[in-house]
Amino acid sequence: MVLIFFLLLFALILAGIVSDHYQRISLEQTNQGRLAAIADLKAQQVSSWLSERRANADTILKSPFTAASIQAFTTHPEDPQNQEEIFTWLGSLQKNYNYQSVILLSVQAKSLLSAPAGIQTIGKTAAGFSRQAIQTRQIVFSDLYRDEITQHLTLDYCVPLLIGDEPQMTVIGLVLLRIDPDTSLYPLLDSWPIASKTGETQLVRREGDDVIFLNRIERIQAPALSLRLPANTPDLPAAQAVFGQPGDFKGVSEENVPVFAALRRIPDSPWYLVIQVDQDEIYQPLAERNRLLLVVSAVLITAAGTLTGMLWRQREARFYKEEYLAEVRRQALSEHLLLISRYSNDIILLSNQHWSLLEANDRAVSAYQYSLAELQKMSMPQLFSIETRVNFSRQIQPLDEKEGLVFEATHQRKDGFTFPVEISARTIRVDGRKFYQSIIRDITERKQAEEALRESERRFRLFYEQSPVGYQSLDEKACFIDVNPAWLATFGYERAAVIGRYFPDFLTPDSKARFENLFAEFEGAGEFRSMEFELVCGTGEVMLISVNGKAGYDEIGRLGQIHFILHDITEQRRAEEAIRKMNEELEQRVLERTTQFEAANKELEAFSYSVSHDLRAPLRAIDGFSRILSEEYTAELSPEAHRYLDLVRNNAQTMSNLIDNLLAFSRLGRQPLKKQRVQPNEVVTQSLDLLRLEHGERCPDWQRIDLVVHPLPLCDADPALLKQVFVNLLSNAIKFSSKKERSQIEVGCLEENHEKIYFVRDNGVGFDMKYAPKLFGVFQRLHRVEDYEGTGVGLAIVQRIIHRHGGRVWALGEVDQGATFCFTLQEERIND
Amino acid sequence: MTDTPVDILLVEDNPNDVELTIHALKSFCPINRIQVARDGVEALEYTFCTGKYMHRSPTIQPRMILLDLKLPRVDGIQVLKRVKSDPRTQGIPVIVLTSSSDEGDVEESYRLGANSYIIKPVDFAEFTHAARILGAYWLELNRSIGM
Repeated sequence: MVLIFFLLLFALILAGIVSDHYQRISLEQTNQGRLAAIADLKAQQVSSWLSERRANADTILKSPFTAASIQAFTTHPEDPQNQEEIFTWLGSLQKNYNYQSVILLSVQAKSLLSAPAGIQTIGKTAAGFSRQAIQTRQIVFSDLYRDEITQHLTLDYCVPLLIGDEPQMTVIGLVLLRIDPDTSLYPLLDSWPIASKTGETQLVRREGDDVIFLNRIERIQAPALSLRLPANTPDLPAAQAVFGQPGDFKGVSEENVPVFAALRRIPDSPWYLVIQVDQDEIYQPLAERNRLLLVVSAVLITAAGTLTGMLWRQREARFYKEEYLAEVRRQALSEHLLLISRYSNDIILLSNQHWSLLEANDRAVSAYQYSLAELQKMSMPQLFSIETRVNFSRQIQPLDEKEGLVFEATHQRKDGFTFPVEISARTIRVDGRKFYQSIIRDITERKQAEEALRESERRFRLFYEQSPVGYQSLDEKACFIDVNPAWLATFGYERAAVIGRYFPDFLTPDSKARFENLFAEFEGAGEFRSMEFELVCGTGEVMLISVNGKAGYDEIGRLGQIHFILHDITEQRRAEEAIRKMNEELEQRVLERTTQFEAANKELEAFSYSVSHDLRAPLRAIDGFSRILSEEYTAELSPEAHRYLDLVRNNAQTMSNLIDNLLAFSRLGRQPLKKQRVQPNEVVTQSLDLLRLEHGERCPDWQRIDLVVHPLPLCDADPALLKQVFVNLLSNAIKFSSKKERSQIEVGCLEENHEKIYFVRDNGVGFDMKYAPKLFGVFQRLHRVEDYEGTGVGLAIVQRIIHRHGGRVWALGEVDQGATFCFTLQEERIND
Repeated sequence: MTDTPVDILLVEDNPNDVELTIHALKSFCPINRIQVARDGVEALEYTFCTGKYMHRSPTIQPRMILLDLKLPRVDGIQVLKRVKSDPRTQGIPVIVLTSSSDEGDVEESYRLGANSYIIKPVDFAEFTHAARILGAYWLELNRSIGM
């Protein structure tokens, strides 16, 4: 990031430098062109100006009129006309050509006339030049110098005045044309066609080995002609102009300022022209632009720097965050390892290369019962039982070549108890030093399980070999892997004829097809349950077998061995078939019997109806006619005859009662039981009412009966039938106690073994218990009719009703000590 | 057959019972006003003036019917049903007089419209007593249709 930033910066700077360089070159070229143009212009101007002056002087020199006029004047200086004429000429000359002064000198170089008037003397230098001009008869150019009299800078042309022809020409005088450079030459130099602060024109000439500056050098306040510098001043443009080549030049000004210059020689003169400008001025736009660029660049660089810095900081922050997270993860991992080691279910030991223990986890402490400090003083072999300790070095031998090793051993606790272990040992190398890590698992349970498995295998083998049931194992293609001896014995094959063969080949074609269909689905279902097939035995006999199969799967869930148990169910099936047939026959027979029984029942019903209807009719006839006889033929019949008629009628009545009871008794077996909740006390009351009604006439003495009815618990019964029970029992009680002075009858209920026992007790004649079983039989009587009338059906009816209610009835008694009749009713489950 | 008015139609197959019943009733009903039918068919022929009673006037009907249930050919229940389901005859009081004490017979008879149900007692004195009460009630006290 920083590198990128600096590269960017570097590129920017380089681009700046290169740009600057080319800009400079461009500027220099532009400037040099401009300077050259100015130099050419100035040189031209100065040169023109000089030519003009020289032409002016030449005009004077060559003008015969002038010479004649001057001769006239010099011949007659006092002639005012001449004087005036000359003076006018001088004046016009001075004015027209802007001379400082124009002076007419004599051959002796004495001032004769001047314009402006009044100049009497001329300086020594001017006089020298004048004499030189007179002698040489040539125009002499004085160059610039300082006049001794006027103390002004002056430039003189000394023009001799000649008269006559060649070669005898005579000098008659001299005109001195004095030029003030301040008014005519210097303005030429000072004017500058373009605006420039440091632009400067220098006019120089050589003087010995020096360069003389002819005009004022404004920058160093050096007046004209005052500055003189050695020609060998290095890089000085003026020196270069005078002693070197004219043209473009880069140098250093008088005050050591770098400048650009254009150097020119003024033709036909000793002068040289130097046009120079400070390099700074030329470079100023560039500098300004550079400044601007610098500012912009600085802003850009600052921005870039800031951006870079931000990105950098962001990266830094991210880096530190990642570092922090990584550190947290490292700590968690370290904690994780610590916990794994400490709370592991396995013993974890660390030992040095001599197997001295260095570290042990909690499990090790609890397993060996040594404290950690004790363990750290021990070495690995000490944990081995004495018997296995000798093997230790041999067992760990392979660790020299391999990094890890698993082996079994027996370890010993502090108290001497030993336990089998599985040791997983690994070598750890840290900085060239060797350590051993041992993860030790107590495999007591596994050993026991293995032993149990072996035992189970033995037991299974025993069962398998000795079982009377046939076992077979098939592979996934239904081919035999194994069969047990019972299989071979049952089906009559030799082992060699079976193993490897396709099991369905042993089945009848029908069974084979069915088995193959089932087997195709077997892999999913995993078991067969009591599937029946027909197997062809070695003897050719076909046996019906019941097959139970269970699949064994390998580790990856593929069908492996399939185990089958085969039962020969031929006999069983035969027996079942026989039973089924017998059942069918039995059912048929029951059906027939039921039909017969129903028919019989119907017949019986019809019979009963006939009995009630038809047996009674003759009785009615007997009774009716004998009564008519005794009532309407009273006179004809003797008392004896009346008595016989009464007997006839009594028997008829008895017969009628018998029939009624018998019918009631037989109806009891047929009519349905209408059970409901019953309050027995109410039933007893109704029964007594009925008895009073029936026996009212025959037993008028109800006053001699002491009747006690205890509260009776609710029961579930058919109320009409229960009433019949109480009617019969109570009427018996009344009847058999009628010969006592007072009848004592008690009705009650008592609970015994969660059973409600209802009873009716009397103090009557009782009975001998040895006849008790006869009491409830039909027509069974224990007393003579003369003593106690009755049909002998009442108790039989009671018993039948009680039995139909699912209860029991019994009697207790003793002769002359009364009787007690007890009964129970089946307890219905009562929810409330 | 004549069209003499009849007080009682006695439907009874047993001749002994016929005689005893007539004997019991004779004190308040002249014997010539008791018509006896010996089976169900005859009872119906008489009531609906068909068969051998086809010339009988249907306007003259017995004032009460004493009906035994156990009858030859058509039994008493059938007779009861026909009599009580026909608008012409359903106004005649029918007293079932039978030796059957079967509850089913009792219920069925009342359901079909029997006016009374009497079990014939074996004791003739009781029977006479019962017959007298019946006659007194149905012939003398009870006002029947058309009287």
